Amino acid sequence: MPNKDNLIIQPNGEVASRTTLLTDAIVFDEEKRQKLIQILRKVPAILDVAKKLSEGKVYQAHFPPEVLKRIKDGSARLDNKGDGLFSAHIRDVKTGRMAGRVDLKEITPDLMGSLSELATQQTLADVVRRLEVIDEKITYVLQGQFNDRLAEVESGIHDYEQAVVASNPDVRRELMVGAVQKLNSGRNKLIKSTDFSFIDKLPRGKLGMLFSRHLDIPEYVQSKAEFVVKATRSIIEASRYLVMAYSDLNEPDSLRVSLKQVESDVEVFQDKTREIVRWLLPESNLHESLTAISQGVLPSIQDLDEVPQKTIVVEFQSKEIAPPEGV
Amino acid sequence: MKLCKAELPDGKPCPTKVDKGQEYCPYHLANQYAKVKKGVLAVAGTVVTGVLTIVAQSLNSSESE
Ligand SMILES: [Zn+2]
Repeated sequence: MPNKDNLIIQPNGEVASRTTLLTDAIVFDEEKRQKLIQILRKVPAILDVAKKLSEGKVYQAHFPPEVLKRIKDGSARLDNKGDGLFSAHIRDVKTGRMAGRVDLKEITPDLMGSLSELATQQTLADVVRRLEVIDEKITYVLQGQFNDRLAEVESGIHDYEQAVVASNPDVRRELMVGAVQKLNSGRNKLIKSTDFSFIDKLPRGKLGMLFSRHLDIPEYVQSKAEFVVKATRSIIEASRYLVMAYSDLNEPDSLRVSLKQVESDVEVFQDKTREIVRWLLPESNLHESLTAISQGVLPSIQDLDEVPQKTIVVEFQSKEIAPPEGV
Repeated sequence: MKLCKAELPDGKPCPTKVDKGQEYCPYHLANQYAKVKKGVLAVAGTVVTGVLTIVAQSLNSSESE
C-alpha cells in the first residue's frame, strides 16, 4: 500500500505513486536547455565528442547524479583512475544506443555548479506547473467580497510582476524580496485564519440533525465551503509565485524554510477540507474542487531534496554544440 | 469503513464513507432531514394559510351581514 508521502501529482494532473511513475531524471524545458547548451559548448571534452557525432541526429547527454555529488564534495578532482564513473554518456535518441562518452575530469566546478543550478530551477518550474494543474482542477467559480489577506497576496503578485520586468538588477531584487514578504505573509494568514470551526459544530446523529437550527445543513456547509475554495485558490496562487520568486532569487533553501513553516497548518487545512467534502453532493462542482484541495495545496519539497539524486538529461544535436566549420 | 447506501442522480452509488453507526454519509443523511424539515414547514405553512383563509372568510361573511 503506498503511503501518502509516496503519492505525487504528475504533470498531467494524475495522482500517482512515486515509486512506480517518477523517473529519476531531470529533463529541461527549451529555455533552460538552451542555457545548458551554452554551458556545454565551453567544455572541450564535450566539444570533441560532439564533433564526432552524426549531423541531423538527436542525442541525449546523461549526467549521472555521481557527477554533481563529486563536484560538490571535491572528490572529482582527485580522480585519475578513469574508472568511467565520472563521465557523461551520450545516447542516440532514436536507437537508444550509446554514441559516446565524455570524460568530465577536466570540467570546472563553476560549470557543474551552473548545471546543478539549472537542475534546481527546472525542478522548481515543474513544481509551479503542478500547482497550476491543481488550480485548474478548482473549477468552482464564485464572486464576492475580497478580504485583506486576499489583497495582500494580490499585492505580492503585482510586486513579482513588476520585478520580472525591472531592468536594474538592484530594483529587481528589491521588488522580488518585497513580493516574497507579502506572499508569505498573505499566504500564512490565509492558512491560519480560514474558519473550519463550523465543521466541528455540525450534528452527526439523526436527532441532532432534526433539531439543528439549520434547516438545510448541506446548503449551510456549501455557503461556508465557498470561502474555503476562495482562500485556497489564493494560497495556491501565493505558493506558485513564491516558488517562482525564490527561484528567481536563486534561494531554494529559503523556499524550503517557507514551506516548512506552514507544513503542519496545511495538513490541518487539508484534513478539514476532506471533512467538508463529505457534507456536499458528490460529483458536484464544489465537491470536486474541494476534493482537489484536500489532495494537496502546497508543493512537495521532496522534489528539491531529490535533485542531487537525479540524472540530468540534455537533448541536443551535434551542430548545437559544435557548429559546422565556417559558420 | 462502510460506504453510503444512497444513489447519485446518475444512478451510481454514493462513494462517500459513512460515520460510525450510520447507513448514509453526512451529506445524504443531512439531505434527508432537510427534506423532512422543509416538508413539515410546508405542511405547517399550508395549515397556517388554511386557518388564515377560514378566519378571513368568516370575517368577510360577518362584515357582509
Ligand atoms: Zn452519500
